[in-house]
Order: sequence, then structure tokens, then C-alpha cells
Amino acid sequence: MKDESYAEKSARERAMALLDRGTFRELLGPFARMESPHLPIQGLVPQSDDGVVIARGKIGDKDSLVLSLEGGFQGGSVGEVNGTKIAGALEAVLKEAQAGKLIFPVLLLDTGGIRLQEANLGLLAISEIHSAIVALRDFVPVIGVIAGRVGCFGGMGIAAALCSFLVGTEIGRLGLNGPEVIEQEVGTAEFDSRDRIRIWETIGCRRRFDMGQIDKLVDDSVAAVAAAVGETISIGAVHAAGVGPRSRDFARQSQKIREYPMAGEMRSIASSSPSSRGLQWFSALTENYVPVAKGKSVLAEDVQWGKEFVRAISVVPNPNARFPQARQGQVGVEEGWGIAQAVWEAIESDEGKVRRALLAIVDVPGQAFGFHEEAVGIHLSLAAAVDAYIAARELGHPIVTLIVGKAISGAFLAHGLQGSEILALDDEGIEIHVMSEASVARVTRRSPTEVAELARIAPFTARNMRSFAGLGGVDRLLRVNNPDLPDAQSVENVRREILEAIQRVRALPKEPRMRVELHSAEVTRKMSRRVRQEIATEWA
Amino acid sequence: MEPGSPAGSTVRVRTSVVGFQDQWLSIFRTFFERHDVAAAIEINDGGASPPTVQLRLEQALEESRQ
Repeated sequence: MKDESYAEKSARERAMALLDRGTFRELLGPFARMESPHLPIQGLVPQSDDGVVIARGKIGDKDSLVLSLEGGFQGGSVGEVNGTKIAGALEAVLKEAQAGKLIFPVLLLDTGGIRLQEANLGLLAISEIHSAIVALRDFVPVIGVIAGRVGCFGGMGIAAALCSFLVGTEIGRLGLNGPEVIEQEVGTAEFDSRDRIRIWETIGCRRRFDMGQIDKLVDDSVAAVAAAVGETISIGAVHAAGVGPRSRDFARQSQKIREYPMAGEMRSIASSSPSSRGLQWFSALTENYVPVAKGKSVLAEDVQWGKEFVRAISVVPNPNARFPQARQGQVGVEEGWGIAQAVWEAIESDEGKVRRALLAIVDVPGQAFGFHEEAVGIHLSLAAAVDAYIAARELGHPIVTLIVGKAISGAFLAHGLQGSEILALDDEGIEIHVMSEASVARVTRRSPTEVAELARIAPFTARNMRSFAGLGGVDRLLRVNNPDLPDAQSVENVRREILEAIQRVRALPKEPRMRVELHSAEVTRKMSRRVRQEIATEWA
Repeated sequence: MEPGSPAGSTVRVRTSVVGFQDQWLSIFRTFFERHDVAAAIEINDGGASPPTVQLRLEQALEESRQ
């Protein structure tokens, strides 16, 4: 008989198939009716488990927790409820681990990334998932499986790259931006979303395995996936193959980027440098006026303000960047590792000393959308940046984020969202969202007008800073005279705000999940709190 | 599907497709004619057609009896 396909199974069946017979216990199951309240108001039918199964049980007699995403429901996308189910369950495992009890977490990934209908709520939940995975990795191997036909993309592609041990099936795909979105953003010439062979050659799990971005490649069969997961848990080592996490493997991964062949096909974009608030504010705050021609896209500079040493980090346009889709200030493959490097330098040189503060100056128009980026593994690059910020925060570096311009999607996950405090200029011109309106319209099959209308009934899909602040996304909004060209007084005020934020963080370290407790999130993220409470109730 | 109350069965259907009311009604009529049960049924159709839902109802009842 032919092996039973793993991808053909539902999320619940996939979880059951991994757990020892008779040990499956579901938390917040369908009868708990933890549905997304945000879908019905948009004319969509919700699902009683919101597309995530949390199952406790045993694998090879070891306590395990399986989190399984249902690719068949809204493309496995992550919204407020199901995202918090994942984050909250991982946080519960972390708490047990800190108390000395090891539970092995397994993520069954089948997801297109953030649920566009829940936009910024999904973005916040994913930043909490990232934080929990990295914290957990010190105790147990966090196992990820690219389990289904959707594959694993967006913020969850970054989450996959953060896992200690990653299993992929032959039919799986892994990346940051799906082919449809790249085609929409850049054009068919960049990536043809109907060219299935090219897609699998570029982002299929086999290719990822060859690139060292997946640890084990298996057939799409229940037996093969169960064996791969069971074996990893029975070994129980915190990391695969004796090396550290993949998202900290600078030597090997940056060599792959350097060696990546880019034939003469790289279109050259006009080399004029677009005005960049990231550059303006970086220069003003560090009093170091960096000419764009310096040919760097990640700027890092240490300054001393009173007793505080602060490392400011900003991503700026770089017309000479090797990857053309990252020349306008986007976070691309080189930028992700670049941010990580700037953060790790601070971590390493502060060993045994007072840990300096990190200031993430955010003006990022998005992650780089491109064929070459996906081929070389931009999801891993962004994971390196995410990982570095989380590591720094856990070691006691106060991290303050200052949003001065665009803060978009994967780029914001990699640069800013792991900050302990987020400050933002109170400016109508600032855009914050998870995907361009055109792409949202294409993926959700709505007209651009409908997408624009939606912001009024569903503020978490809105694209302005005030709406994001209304979700607890921002700790303080700062008034300045001219956000494009900061004057001396504004710079001084912002500097004082940053220092005060650093003091608050030194006194009381904060993680992304604590944003849920902010007053501004009280009503808007009610479900995030309820899901965590329910997990605590059903956990024991 | 959960046990219903002594007063009888309840059915709630959530669908994004309009105009299939007659089909839904005939499915539930058939189901309750065939099975003498009191059930509280909630259906989120997830794009499935009424005949598929009919099949799933039979499966759910079968499973609840095991």
C-alpha cells in the first residue's frame, strides 16, 4: 500500500498522527468556540478553532505540545485568535521549562503568513510567536514541520527559520514572500506565479534542504514525518548537528549570499537616492551625517547620552546595493544579516559589562520582494535580525524602537517589533501595514475600493500610526515640527523621550506579549487576553 | 454537533453564500426524519456545499455514537 499522505490530513489529524495513541488532549478545541470576531464583520465565515489545533500529549513517551495550522481555513493565515493560541501555548511551555519541566513543542506549519483581514493584529501576534520560539530554544528543541500544500510564508516563514530543527516534505515550500505577492509587487518578469516548476526549484523544501535551511527532507507521508519528529525528540538535543541555531550561523549563510550567482540580468534602477527619514533621523540623533554614497544600507553608530551608551541602527536606501529590490531602504537578504551583525557586535563587546541600549530607527518600506531574495533565503535573513534583537533583549540590552517613517510587514518584524518600548512620531504621513493595498486586494479577492473601505469597520486593517497605537502597538506618540527634516528642538525632545524609555526598560524589562496589557489594547485586543486566560485554565 | 435539549433540536448555519435556503432546509428535514435525535448543530460551511454538509452530519452522528 502506498504511504498515507501527511498533507492530505486536516490540522487535527496531523497532530493526532504524531502523538502516542490515546494521549491526544486538545486545548481550546472547537467546542470552546474561540473564533475570530473579525471575520464575520467582513462577511466571512469563521471556524470554531480559528484554524489552529493545540494538542498536548506524548511523543515516544515524552511530554509534547503540538501546534497545528489548518491550511484549509483562510490559507492557514495567522490572525489574532489563532496567533495568540500559538504564542500563548508556547509561553505556557516556556513557563514549564523555566520551572524545570520539559515539554517538547512541535509546530505543524501550513500557512501563508499574516491573515490580511486581521492585518496588524496578526503582525503583533507573530512578533509574540517569534519571541517565544527564541526564548524556548534555550531549553528544548523547537521543532517545525512544513506540513502541507500551502507551504510556509510571511512572518511564519521567519518563525520556521527560528526553529531549532526544521523538517520539510517534498511537496512543501518555504519562503518569505509567496510568488503571487512578488508578481503583484514587481511583475511577472520577476516571478511568474503560474510557473510551478520554477517555484518549486526556487522555494521548494528540496531546494531549502540543499541550501542548509531545512534539517531533514522527507516524503509526504505520515510515517516519514512521524519518524523525523519522533527521532528529534528522542535525541532531545537543543540544536541540530551540534552547531548553534541557523539564524546565528553568519559564516555559512553569508558565504551563501556572497556566492549566489546573479547573472547580468539584474536590472539597474536609477541611482538617485530617495529621501529617507531613516537617514535623516539617524544622522540627527547620532550627529553623524552619513552620505548615502557610503554604499551601506545598514547604519550603526554608538553615541553616549549622559550615562547611557546607545547603539543606533537604521536601514537606509543604498543605490549600490547588490540586490536591486533592496535599494530603496527595504530589508533584504544583506540587510537582515547586517542588522543581526550590528546587534551581535554590541552583545559580544558588552559581555560582563553594563549592556548598552539599542535604538532601532525604523523607516522601512517593506521587505525586498524579489526572485533572488527568495532563492537565497530572505526568510532566514530576517530571522537572523529577529533572533539578534530577542537575544539582546533577553541578555538585558534595553531596546527602544523609534518609528520615523514606514514600518511595514516583515521588515518591521525584523527591525523594530522586538523592541521593549516602541516610540513613534505622531504623523499622518507614517504608514504601517502588512501588505500593499494592491496585493491585499489580489490575495483576498476584493476590489481595491473594498479594501480601502474596510479600514473604517476594521481599524486593525488601517494604515496609519494612530490606528496601530490603538492596538497597543506604540508606547508613546511623539510630536515633532517637521518629520522629514528634524530641527534641533525636535531632535532634543525625541532624544529625551528615548532616554526616558531606556530608563523605564532598565527598571522593568518588557517583551512583546506585554503590549496586550497596555491600556490602549484593553478593548482592541480583548481576544488576545481571553485566549491566554483560557489556555491557563485548560493547561493543567 | 452537541446534544440538544429536551425541547428539541437547534440548527445554526453560517455561510457566505446566499440563496441556498431551500437546500439547507431539505437537508435538515431529511436528517431529522432519518434520525430520532435531539441535537444542537452549528455549521460554519467553509465554502462546502449543502450535500457535503449532509455527509458530514451523518459522519458526526456516527462518531458521537461510538
